[in-house]
Amino acid sequence: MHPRFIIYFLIGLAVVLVPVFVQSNYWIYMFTMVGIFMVLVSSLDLAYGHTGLVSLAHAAFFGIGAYSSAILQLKLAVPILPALLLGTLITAIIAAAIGWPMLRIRGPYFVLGTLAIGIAIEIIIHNWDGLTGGVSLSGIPMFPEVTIFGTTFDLSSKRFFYYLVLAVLVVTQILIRRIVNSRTGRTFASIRENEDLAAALGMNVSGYKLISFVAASTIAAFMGGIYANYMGAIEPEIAGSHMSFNLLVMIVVGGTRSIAGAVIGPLLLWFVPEFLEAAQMYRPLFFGAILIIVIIFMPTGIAGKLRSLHPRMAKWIP
Amino acid sequence: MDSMNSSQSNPILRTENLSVQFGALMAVGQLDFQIYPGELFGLIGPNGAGKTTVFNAITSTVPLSHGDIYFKGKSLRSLKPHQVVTRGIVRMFQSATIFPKIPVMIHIMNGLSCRTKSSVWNSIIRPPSFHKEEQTSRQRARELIQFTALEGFEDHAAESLSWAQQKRLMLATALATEPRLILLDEPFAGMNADEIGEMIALIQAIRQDGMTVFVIDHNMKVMQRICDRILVLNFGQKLTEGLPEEVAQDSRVIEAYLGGD
Amino acid sequence: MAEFLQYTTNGLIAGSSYGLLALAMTLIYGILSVPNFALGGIYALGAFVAFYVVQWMGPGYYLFSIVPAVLIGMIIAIVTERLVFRPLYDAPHAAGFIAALGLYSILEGSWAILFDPTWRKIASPYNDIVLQLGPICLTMQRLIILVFCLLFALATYYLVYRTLTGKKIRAASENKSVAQLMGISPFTTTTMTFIVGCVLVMIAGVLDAPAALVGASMGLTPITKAFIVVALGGLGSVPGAIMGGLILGLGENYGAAYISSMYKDLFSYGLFIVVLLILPNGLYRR
Ligand SMILES: Nc1ncnc2c1ncn2[C@@H]1O[C@H](COP(=O)(O)OP(=O)(O)O)[C@@H](O)[C@H]1O
Ligand SMILES: [Mg+2]
Repeated sequence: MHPRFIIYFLIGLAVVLVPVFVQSNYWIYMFTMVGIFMVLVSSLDLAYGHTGLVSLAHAAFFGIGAYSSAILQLKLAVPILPALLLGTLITAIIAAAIGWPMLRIRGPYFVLGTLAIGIAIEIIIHNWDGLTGGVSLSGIPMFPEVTIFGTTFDLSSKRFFYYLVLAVLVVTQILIRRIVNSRTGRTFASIRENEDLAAALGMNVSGYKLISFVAASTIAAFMGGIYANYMGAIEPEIAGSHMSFNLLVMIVVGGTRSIAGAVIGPLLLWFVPEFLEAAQMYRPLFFGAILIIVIIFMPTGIAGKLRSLHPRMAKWIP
Repeated sequence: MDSMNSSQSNPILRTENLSVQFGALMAVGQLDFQIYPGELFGLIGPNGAGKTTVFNAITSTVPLSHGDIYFKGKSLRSLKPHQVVTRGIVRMFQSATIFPKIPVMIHIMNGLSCRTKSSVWNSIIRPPSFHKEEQTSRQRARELIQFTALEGFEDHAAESLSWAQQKRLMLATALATEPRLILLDEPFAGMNADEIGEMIALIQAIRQDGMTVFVIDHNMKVMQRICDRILVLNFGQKLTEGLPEEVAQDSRVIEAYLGGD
Repeated sequence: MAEFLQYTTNGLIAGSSYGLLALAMTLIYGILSVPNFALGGIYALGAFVAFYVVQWMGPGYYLFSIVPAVLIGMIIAIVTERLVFRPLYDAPHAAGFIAALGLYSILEGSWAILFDPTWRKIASPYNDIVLQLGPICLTMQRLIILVFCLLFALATYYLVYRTLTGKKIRAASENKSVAQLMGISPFTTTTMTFIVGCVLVMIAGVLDAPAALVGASMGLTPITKAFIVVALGGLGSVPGAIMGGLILGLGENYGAAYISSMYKDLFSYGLFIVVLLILPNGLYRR
């Protein structure tokens, strides 16, 4: 076996064994949160990195997914799994309804439009308190305990969620790889590189932008649904433009179109501020500074920079 | 070639009173012309005459102010640019317009996209038909790479090619869309004599396969050599139209060219 | 009718401040094709300058705070343009925009650390003078906002359309390479435009401060709305920015009065989205 794959295997093994060696629930929680960000960043990469759509509304779909699944459970007593799937479907439909007219807007207007939509959705969630609980929606059911072959698993435990998020992350990456390495993905790349030429070669530019946008939003929505059950309470801020901005920072800093980028970005921007003292206060400063440094000195992000150091590095970094 | 024969069949492309206006500027005015299947039709005229605008109108990239365009008897009006390609018309842009970072092989496969079907679901589930389509796409792309003499560059980014190679890459990508009519906007611009020769050979080869070619260029000598018929445009208006030797001797054409450049 | 006049006045006051911010944004957009979000952080700095001038020198010096604000605005314009935007001059526009967001984040974070993250009020002497103009009631401070914003907007208009500097700015924003051929240095023009933009935003911060709460993140909402105005008015268009600002201010206040005040902010974002969909290139074409 190639040494490269041995390394990948060891990293994978370490990731799988984290909950065995890490006893502190706090750290499991931290890793789970990073995993959630990795899923969001990976899905944003489909729209931003692969298709060239700079969206400041990505968190909005994470939020809508979380809220619709939670509301289905709380108000209509839908069981968790169907609620999760239905909530994701609802969000996909909302994303398509928003994306269909928006995506015909080009360039800076599209970015501004997504910003406005992100802010508007946060305001709506905040003010529609009859449905969304206003400043916070709490009491979202925990996952139940299940007994299989006489063994009882507590699905509401921090460890279970760690593996759940890990599984979602792996599936997301596989989905994205498959989409990207196909006719659809080549169309995304064409749109990113030159929209006019793509249309002149017979590609349905707005149609494929919509596919990319909705696919990215759907993954975010599914993650949002799981997040709602994980946390038990959600706030409108998870859908807000600040959150979307953070996701954009993570993908730009980590590096687009790269598994390593989708891992490095969230790891760096989630953990480093945690280690800084007075983390909350220094976080915006840190986020902004690292974003500017990376965008000026490493336009392809950290993963892209590492890849460009040596041809062998390019092979090693997925 | 045999323009006498072809004029008896139905035109593959026909414009009727084609007019494009940008504000007060009449970029193309009341233009009528026909192109017959298998023909190599030329469009010449000084800079700013409205030549590219004619292509833009045919490919639905600018709206028509008046008139209509018919391809194989059907109107192209109200089609989106990508739908025009599906009908069988493709264009090569004036400068080398390419996907800069995309490798040559994939670049050409992008041209095949409009003729293949594989959906998002297919790319995720990957049934046998998915792999089969990918394989035939690759095979076709390889043929076009060979045709345009780009072997050995399969994995090179498009932007790393020379100017002439980029133009050939664009030709290959355009041909991948399986057009019946191909629009070439100044395909010889910025090339040396050898490269022009290669491009002419390619154009003549695709005509052997029954392709209709509509070409814009400045180079009167080359155009005279390759075109079956030539239309001369000046200030958006048709100056004259006819066989290359007729056009070359037309005093108005000589005047427009000497006065224009 | 009296009510309507009152809402109109309120709308014009809010709109004149949006207009000034949008003017700054649109000038910089014209040159760099980058919506400079960081102006929101600079706007907050303007408000802090006013706060400290009033605290240290007394309320009587409130209007004087425009002077240090202008000077600081010039410095911050030169520094941010050199350090952040110039290295990205040739990068794709999205890079400049993302960097601007990053710079905003840095500024907001810095103000929170430097000036501690509480909200405070400014004791402007003009806050307590209430004017009754026929049926309309407003404080002197708000009249100052209206008058000064319009004055500075007119001054900028004059600068852009009647002076040599303005000619250069417009030439560079029409076509960078042609301007360069004409011997207009893109760097000095960009710096000049940044200075004008940042100074305007600092002034807007000083003017709005007494009528709002001063805090590190106070610039976020106004600058987002200025964005909207710029997009509505046509990116890069000067009259579009001023008109767009007034329209948004009026629209918001009528909307809040006659539709629902809870959704006042939603109203402007909704209006923006609707207009974008109808006119994907903004109201004014340059
Ligand atoms: N999208 C457009 N908007 C406004 N004017 C245009 C546009 N496209 C072309 N023009 C103008 O139309 C005229 C014809 O242009 P074009 O067709 O490109 O000329 P040619 O290809 O013959 O050199 C020129 O004056 C050009 O400036
Ligand atoms: Mg042309």
